[in-house]
Formats: sequence, structure tokens, C-alpha cells
Amino acid sequence: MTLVLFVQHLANGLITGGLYALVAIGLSLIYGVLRIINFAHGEIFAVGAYVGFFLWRVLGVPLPLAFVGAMVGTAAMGVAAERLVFRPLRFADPLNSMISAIGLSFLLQNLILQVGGAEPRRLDPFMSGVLLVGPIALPLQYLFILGLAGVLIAAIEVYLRRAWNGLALRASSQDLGTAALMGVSIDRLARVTFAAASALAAAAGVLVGSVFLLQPTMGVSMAAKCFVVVILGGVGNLPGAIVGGLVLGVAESLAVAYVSTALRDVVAFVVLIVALLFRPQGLLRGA
Amino acid sequence: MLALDRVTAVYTGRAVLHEVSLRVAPGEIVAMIGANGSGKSTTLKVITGGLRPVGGQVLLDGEPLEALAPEAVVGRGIALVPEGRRVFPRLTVVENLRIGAYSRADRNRYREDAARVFELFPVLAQRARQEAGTLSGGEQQMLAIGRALMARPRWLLLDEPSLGLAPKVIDVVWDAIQKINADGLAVLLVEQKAFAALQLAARAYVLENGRIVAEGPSATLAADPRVKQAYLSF
Repeated sequence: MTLVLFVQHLANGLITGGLYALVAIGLSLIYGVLRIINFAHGEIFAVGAYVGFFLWRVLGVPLPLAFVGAMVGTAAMGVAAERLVFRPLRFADPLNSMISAIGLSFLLQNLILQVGGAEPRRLDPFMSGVLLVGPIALPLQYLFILGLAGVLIAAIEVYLRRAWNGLALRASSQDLGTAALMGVSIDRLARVTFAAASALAAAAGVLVGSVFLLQPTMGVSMAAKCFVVVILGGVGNLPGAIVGGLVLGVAESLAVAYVSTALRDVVAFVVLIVALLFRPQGLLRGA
Repeated sequence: MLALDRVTAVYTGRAVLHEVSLRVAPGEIVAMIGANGSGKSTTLKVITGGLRPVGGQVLLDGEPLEALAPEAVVGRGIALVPEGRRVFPRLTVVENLRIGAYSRADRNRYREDAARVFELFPVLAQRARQEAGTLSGGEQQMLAIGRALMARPRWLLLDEPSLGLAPKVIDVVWDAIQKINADGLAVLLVEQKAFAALQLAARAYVLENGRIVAEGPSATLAADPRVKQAYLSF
């Protein structure tokens, strides 16, 4: 019986971990290519969730289409944010873009509050029903989320390996100046990066909304945890962000189950401190 | 014709090039020699859009080049092999070659060009799936040259290609430059190893403190007592 429960908690942890990974990949990508620490990435995740909610609840769009719509709409918003907030500061002291990102996060949070209201919202689950594996009950909704997160992560990996701009992104994260010599335009890359990162965050937002609740401040703790995930995995290291997300999700789930529910938001930072003490280069760096 | 017409450039408040004029005709190998800090790399930087001149013009077949962004220059047929090679260390050899073709309209046919690079440098074919950071200095130099060729340039600019290489490897690189040139590419070779550069190039320019102090056929320069004393004494 205890083993069954353990597996259940493990599965829960993997699901939250997959969602962390989706958001953290974008954060890592933006830093890796553009050296911007995007403090507004959590709010982009929240906007994505609310765009999905708006499409589904207010406009009556079917949930799967609302999911895609949220990704597309939020990608467009990410591109606009890059153009208006970050590009003018590209050659300025990095502190400037950091402060602007904080400003953007306040702006988006209050925008959500104005438009969406303060009360928590929720989306319908994408799937109902339970998959029974022996004595273990896995809600189909959870499996669906894990599968979809996996598909999206695989898609971004394939994009980075196969697509011309994916290759350009990886080259630029290693040497921006030399990438320009190859004909890579940093303006175009900045657009691609913000679009991809925002779309992934929006996907995570809608998925979160179908299990947990939507709140205007939902981006704050997500961002904090994803910074932990990115540092855990090694900054700018995408496989690291995936592993880091899963590790954090599982650690949180197990701590809540076996120690105390009050620990949920503490675990991330305990993990961070331990990681910085023993593997400051990140879990996968140099391995 | 690639030409600099009385180019003056300023870097961090200091004039680093004074009215530099030079030209590279299609199919030529031209060397630029001079001591460290004489302005050789800066000249290449001006040509590739990394530094905008405050005076003079950079012309490619009569069209001004100096207002172009760095990423647009390669599309005009000018590829740079940068100093220190600057291969992408965590991309594989094949990926480094592929990114070299990024600017081309027909870039999806990059494999044909990669095969040609492997013909030129067979050792790279053996390392095709390895990350470039694991290659030796000589192999990285070959990769940097191969990567530049992937853009199918008409002008190849090489910045200190022999830097830090063993004599044997330098021979390989020199042979390759000759082969590339025989295929019709013009080469502008920046070198501190002046004697070797003069053997390879038909013509050369001598730079000193940002000014061209001598120019002419390599044989004439190699025999010039002043040039000999200043640059060929080692």
C-alpha cells in the first residue's frame, strides 16, 4: 500500500516537474541566447493561462483550440515585449533590462487583475477518467499533461537540432559575434527566442489551469521555482532545465506527502541551496 | 573588386586606421603584413561590418559596403575566417559547417558543400560527429576555413590562420589556401608570419600604426631592405 502511494506521489511530482520544465526551458533559452534575465517570464506564463481561459470561457472556443490559441497569442505578446521592452536596451548595462523585466511583470500582473478579476478561475480538465495500473490509479488528465509536456519538449529539441534557426540559436548562445559573421541576424533570433519561450510558457499555463487554479499572481511562485530549476540544471543548458524541473517537481511532491504540506514552497529553495553547495555548475554541466 | 578607399577608422576614441587604401581583385591572393596592433585585424573588421569607418569607403564591385550590418556582409560574398578560429565549441563539426551555409538561399543543399570541405580536409570527415571544442588547434583552423567556404564566398578573408599552429599543420593550411584560390576565390590573407605570407601571395600591403607604408608584388617587398629588416628578420 505504501509503495502504491509512493508511485502516486512520484507521478504527481513528474507532472508538476514537466510543467516547471516547460516554463524553465524558455527562461533558459532567453538567457542563453540573449543574456536577458527575464523576470517577467512567470507573468508570461500567467498571461498564457488567462488567454486560454478567455478563449474557452468567454469566446466559447473548444479547449484544445483554446490551448493552441493561447500559445499563439502569448507568443505574439512575447515578441512584442522583446521589441518594446528589451531590444532598446540590448546594448545597455544588463541591469537595465533586468529592471525593465521587473516592471513588465508588474504591468502584466495588474493587467490580468484588471481584465480577469481577482477571484481564482479554473478550466475544465482535458480528459476525465482514471487509468488503473494494478492498484495504482492514474488520472488520465495527468497522463495527458505529462505526455503533452513531453511532446512539446521533444518538439523544441528537434527544432534546435534540425531547423536552421534552431541551429542559429545554439550557435549564438556560444558566440554571438561569430554567429553574425555567418549571416545570423540577432533581431530575428530575439523574435524567435521570445516567441518559442512564450508559447511554451503559455502551454504550461493552460495545463496548470486545467488541474489547479488560475490566479493573477500565479506567475510569481512559478518564476521563482523556474529560476531554481534553471540554476539546478545549469544556466543555458536545456536538457539540464528538463532534468532540473523533474527533480524539483518530484522533490516537492514527496516532501509534501511525507513531511508536511507546508513545505511545498520551501523545498525549491532547500534544493537550490543544496545544489549550489555541491554542484554549483549545474546537475548536467561537466557530467 | 573589393576595395578600401582612404578608410579611416576610430576605435575607443583612438584613430586605428589612417586613410588605408587597398584592393583585392577576383581570383587574387593578397597579403597584409605588419606587426601586432598595426591595424590588420581592424581592416578586416571594417570590411565585415564590425566597425564602421569614420572616413573613406569600402566598395564591393563599386557598391558601398560600410553601412551594412555584419550579418548582411556574408550574403554579398565575403566570408571571414576570424582570428583565433572561433569555431562553435559545442556544435559538432558537421553543425559548424552547416551554420556556415546559413546565409545562402540554397542552404538546404549544404551537404554537397560539406562533402567538398571534407575532400579538402579529410581529417574533418573522421571527426564529423565530434564537438568542435574537442578538435586540435589545427583541425579547428581547418574547420573555420571550411565553415567560411560553406557560404560560397567570392572573397575569403583570413585573419592570422597560422597562429599557434605547428609548422606541419601550417603547410596543410597553406596548401588548402592555394587550392581554394585555384578554384577561383580571391583571398585576403592577414599574417604576422610575413615571410610565409609573401610566398603565398602575389601582392602584399605592409601596415604600420594604421597606415600602409609599402605595397607591391610580394617578390619586390621581400627584397626591400626596409621590409626585410622590419618584418622578415626572424
